[in-house]
Amino acid sequence: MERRKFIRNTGLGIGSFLLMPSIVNADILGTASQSQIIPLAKLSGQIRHGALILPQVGYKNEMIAFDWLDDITRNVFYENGFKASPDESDLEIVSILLTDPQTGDPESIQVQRSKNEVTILYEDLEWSVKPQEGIQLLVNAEEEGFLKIHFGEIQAGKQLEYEVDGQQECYVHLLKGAVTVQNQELKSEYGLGLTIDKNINFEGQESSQFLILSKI
Amino acid sequence: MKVNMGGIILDQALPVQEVDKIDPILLVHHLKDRFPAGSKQQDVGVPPHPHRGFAPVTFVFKGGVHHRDSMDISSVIYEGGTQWMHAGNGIVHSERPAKEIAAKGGEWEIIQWWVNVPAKYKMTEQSYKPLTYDETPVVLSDDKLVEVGVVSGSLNGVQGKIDTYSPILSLRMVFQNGGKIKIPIPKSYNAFIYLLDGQLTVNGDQEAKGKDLVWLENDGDFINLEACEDTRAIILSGEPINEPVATYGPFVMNNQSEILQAMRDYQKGAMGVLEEKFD
Repeated sequence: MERRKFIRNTGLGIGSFLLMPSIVNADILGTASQSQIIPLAKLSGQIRHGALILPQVGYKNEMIAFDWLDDITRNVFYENGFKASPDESDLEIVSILLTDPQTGDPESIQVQRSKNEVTILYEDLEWSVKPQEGIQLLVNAEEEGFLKIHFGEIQAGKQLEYEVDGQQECYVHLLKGAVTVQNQELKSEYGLGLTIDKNINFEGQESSQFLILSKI
Repeated sequence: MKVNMGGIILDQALPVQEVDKIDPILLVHHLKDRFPAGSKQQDVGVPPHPHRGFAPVTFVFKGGVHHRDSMDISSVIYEGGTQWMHAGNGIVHSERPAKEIAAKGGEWEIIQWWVNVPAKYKMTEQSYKPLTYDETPVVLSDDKLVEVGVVSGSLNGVQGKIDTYSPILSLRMVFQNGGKIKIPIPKSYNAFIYLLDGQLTVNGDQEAKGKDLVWLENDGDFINLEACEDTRAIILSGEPINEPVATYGPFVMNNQSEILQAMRDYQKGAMGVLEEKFD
């Protein structure tokens, strides 16, 4: 039976860049896993002339423990140019800034959601993700680079398992909804970093979509 | 309509609820601000941010705007002048009050408007063209009560100094009370007038006052304007580009894929990086 001790900061919420993430050691039958709750900056609304604040190459969010994951920023661009649309037609973009640990080269992932459609741009590859329950492989690091990217979709009350091969560093980003990951509740204000050597369990609390980035 | 641009409250004449754009003009922002003495330039104005795919143009009415960009250009334009920037395949720039205005305190009034460029020019090289008041060609009305600065396009044979990627007629007008002027505008151009203040009679029967945007029909090739009081106004007009527009935040492209690419390119530094230098 696993023993887990969670240190949860109170008052974690929107705009909580000032709060420190919690780092947990869970000693499970001799294996060592760590998880890191990463508070994300508030979703930033962009009017037509937005003074877009988006960290560029060279920036490292010191609250993120992984050396390959530099920053996660969320922006929503109003379709009508001045305020949020009521019908989910605004463009929400998650920008993930990375550094290839082998080459030191900057990389980025842009994840766009609009009207519940998801498009992902990683380097020069673009996917329009077809909604389907389960975890889909989008990028396989064995072919190129250092990263595997999976896209997951889960309904409330359902469970999914992500296979981990050996010890891996993984980042889970919730695009929509709420899930429990390894008994850790995850909402959209947070990302989750995991150093883990066993499969990752997801349980949907709501209809949810998420990304899993795994460094090999 | 008041909007909040990252803490800066300004009047957004375009887009509004009913009108998303007036092709090729995408946005009109009117900003008036006053800085208390002792402000530091780096603490005021708009910090570094990117653009791609169109031309942001700034008309300076009061004070001075210090433009810095990732091409290493540092330029201050004062009252009556214009800053015309073509973002092209990407540029990072900042727009702050001139240093002495920030330090001594003073007023800052600008209109920034965005003009789209055709798809084939969106990824061309960036450029920045400053134009002082003295460098701007002027046309006077017959009654000498209206002064029109011709920034781009041509008015009564007077050619503006800004070259554009599609036909644009942009004019800056200062009316004294009672001043009258006839402005020819090609029928095919989409055109509108925006008043900073004052009051005009348009074509003899329509009243417009400060912060009104009057969108003109394409049913004629000139307009008559008469000032009911001292008035400042601009006319922006151009040949419609008639291409799909994906305009999100600081980028104006033709589809959402290109917006994602712009985000990626900016984040990876492909649009350049601006490290502002302050004295």
